[in-house]
Amino acid sequence: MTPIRNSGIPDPWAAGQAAGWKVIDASALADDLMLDADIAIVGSGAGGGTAAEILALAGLKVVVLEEGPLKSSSDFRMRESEAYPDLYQESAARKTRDKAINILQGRCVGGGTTVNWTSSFRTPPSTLAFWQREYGLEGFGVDDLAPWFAQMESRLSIGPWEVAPNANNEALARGARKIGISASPIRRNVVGCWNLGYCGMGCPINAKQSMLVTTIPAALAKGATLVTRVRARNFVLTDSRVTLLEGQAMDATGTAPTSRTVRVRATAYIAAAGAIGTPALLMRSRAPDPYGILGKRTFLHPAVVSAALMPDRVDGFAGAPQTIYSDHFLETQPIDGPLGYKLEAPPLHPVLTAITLPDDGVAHARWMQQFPRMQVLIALLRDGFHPESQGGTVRLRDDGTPQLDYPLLPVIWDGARRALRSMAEIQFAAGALSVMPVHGGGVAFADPAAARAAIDGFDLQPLVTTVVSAHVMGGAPLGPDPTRSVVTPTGRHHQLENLYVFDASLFPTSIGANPQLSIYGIVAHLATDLAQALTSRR
Amino acid sequence: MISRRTFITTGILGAAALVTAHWLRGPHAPAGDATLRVLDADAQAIMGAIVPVLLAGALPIAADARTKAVTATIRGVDTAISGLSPSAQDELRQLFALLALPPARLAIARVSEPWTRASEAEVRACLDRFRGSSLTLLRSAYAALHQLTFAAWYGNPTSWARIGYPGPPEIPA
Repeated sequence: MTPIRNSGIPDPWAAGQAAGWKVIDASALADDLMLDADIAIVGSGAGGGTAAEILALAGLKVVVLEEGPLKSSSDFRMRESEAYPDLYQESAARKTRDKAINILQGRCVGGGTTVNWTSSFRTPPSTLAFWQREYGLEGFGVDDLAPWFAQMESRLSIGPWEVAPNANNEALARGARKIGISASPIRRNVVGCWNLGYCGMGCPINAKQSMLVTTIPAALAKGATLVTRVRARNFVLTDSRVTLLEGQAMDATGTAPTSRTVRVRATAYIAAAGAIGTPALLMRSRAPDPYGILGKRTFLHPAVVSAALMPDRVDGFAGAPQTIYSDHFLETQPIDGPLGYKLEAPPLHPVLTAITLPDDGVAHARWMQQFPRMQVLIALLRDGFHPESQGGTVRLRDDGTPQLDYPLLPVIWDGARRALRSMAEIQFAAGALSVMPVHGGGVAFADPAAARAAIDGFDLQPLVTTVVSAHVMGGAPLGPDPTRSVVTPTGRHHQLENLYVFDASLFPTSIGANPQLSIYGIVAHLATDLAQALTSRR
Repeated sequence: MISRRTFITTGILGAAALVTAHWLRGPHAPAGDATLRVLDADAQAIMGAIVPVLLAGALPIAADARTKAVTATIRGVDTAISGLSPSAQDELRQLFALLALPPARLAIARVSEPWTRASEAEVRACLDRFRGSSLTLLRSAYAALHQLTFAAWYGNPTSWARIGYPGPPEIPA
């Protein structure tokens, strides 16, 4: 084991724990643990972290349970072989039921915000309008939410990124310009970013303003308690209230529970375990679901991938990972029509690149040997708006763990085909020598006409065409109508008076943009209202 | 470890063959590396046949370095599997247990010799058949072997020079 090299960077967790932050690693518990609190929060990601700070600052006693470990800047060595098992659900290999979609989801203190690529977008106005129109959701319009987005943008230093994009992102800007479609810079939540390019493995210099370095430390400084490596098993329900939260400690590897339990008795309970974890937690709790909505309509922004070979070095592993996007194919068509897609460029690191590239043996090795000249685009399909795009369903396995069944229906493949065409066109316009849509045996094309003709003829299939996701949304939607939503517009469960859902499960559809800021803003709004309701009762 | 006889999800072989698996399975692979956490001797033999084929063109040429790289990759696959959910680990154990059965090796993989002696050509053909299968189960088996092997190899700094990846930057202390 090589020594930790980044010891020169101050780690706020070392200082905080020295100052007496209450942090308990449940994997090391010698006895069962019972805690009392005003608020018990399940999850420390975008939803749980945002809520924890707001509620703790309101003077409430907060306990946060996190399934993953506490890892912080002094642990972050920018190695995929360490980051994926340490920081991601199922070692970054979580899959849908038929294994056709690989899902990247955080599982660590800070959740997805610790490992995301910093892309920050307010919820698109067209998405909010759809929620209002189709779900009767009032109070979530652009103007209603603007102050909440502004508050969280300020809290997390979300702003323009002034550094030039890396060559991987620049190729998207260049290609888009050449074919006459819009592309714009992405705002990021960073302070003093060194432009390293390793956001997905935990920021080693604490530049990324994730929950790990902002809201969770602030809540702990206000006296909150954080329990790590504990999986929330179920809420105990008595009549229409939650009376207890029961969790199982996980072992140090994070894969299996130990025999220790962690229980929290609180006034109010918040599920913020992400859009797979939260519906599963409610299912294990046998929470009322009279209209069969829970865990349904779970969305992924299913993404398809296009790899290109450029004449010069791209070095897609270096530099801020996502700085340019194009919404041309979202904005130029009806939101509920054939699926639109957002175009972005992902960071390229050896493991993620190698497992995503099709084929194997000598052909795969040839592509990998061109790794520094590789340029990659992804297209995130906006699911959940078209009537045939109903997303997936979360179910429980026999062992109580969740599984997402997300059928890849023709409505998805139709969007995927158009997206593969667009990406190839942009990559050739940006100067690509060859383009390989990530499908089947991985055939590369040397000119746009050949690529287009081939893509038109592709037999797009699960486990033939690579589909990935880093955004899980829905499954416990908010809305006024209990026949169509799990929680009210305040985030409170329709049938349980002291249970709240504060995470991406709330969204009635996908967002149509990287969701972190949507979660921050909406949860800041809901958590502030909850804090007021709870403190005014005193 | 889940019993081999609990493997019922496929329907490829039919339940009868699996019930008789116990006495059909024949001699075990030679003792494997007992320090691995998930892969038993049979699974190590299977990966020992598959890894050099998936990584053809990526592994070092020199025999000694090549053997070391294959061994390290199998160890990396074991580490990767041990980080998966218990249900995913069980599925992979079942996949390896199935492929280790001579009838399944012959009928599904169409590999005529035990995995320790399997020819590269037969392993290559097996992987191609899995990848191109009309059954999503076999395609997912290919995908799992592909992802585990490439994650293990390209997560290993030994592989980086060959692809021109300089490794993560140094953070000045």
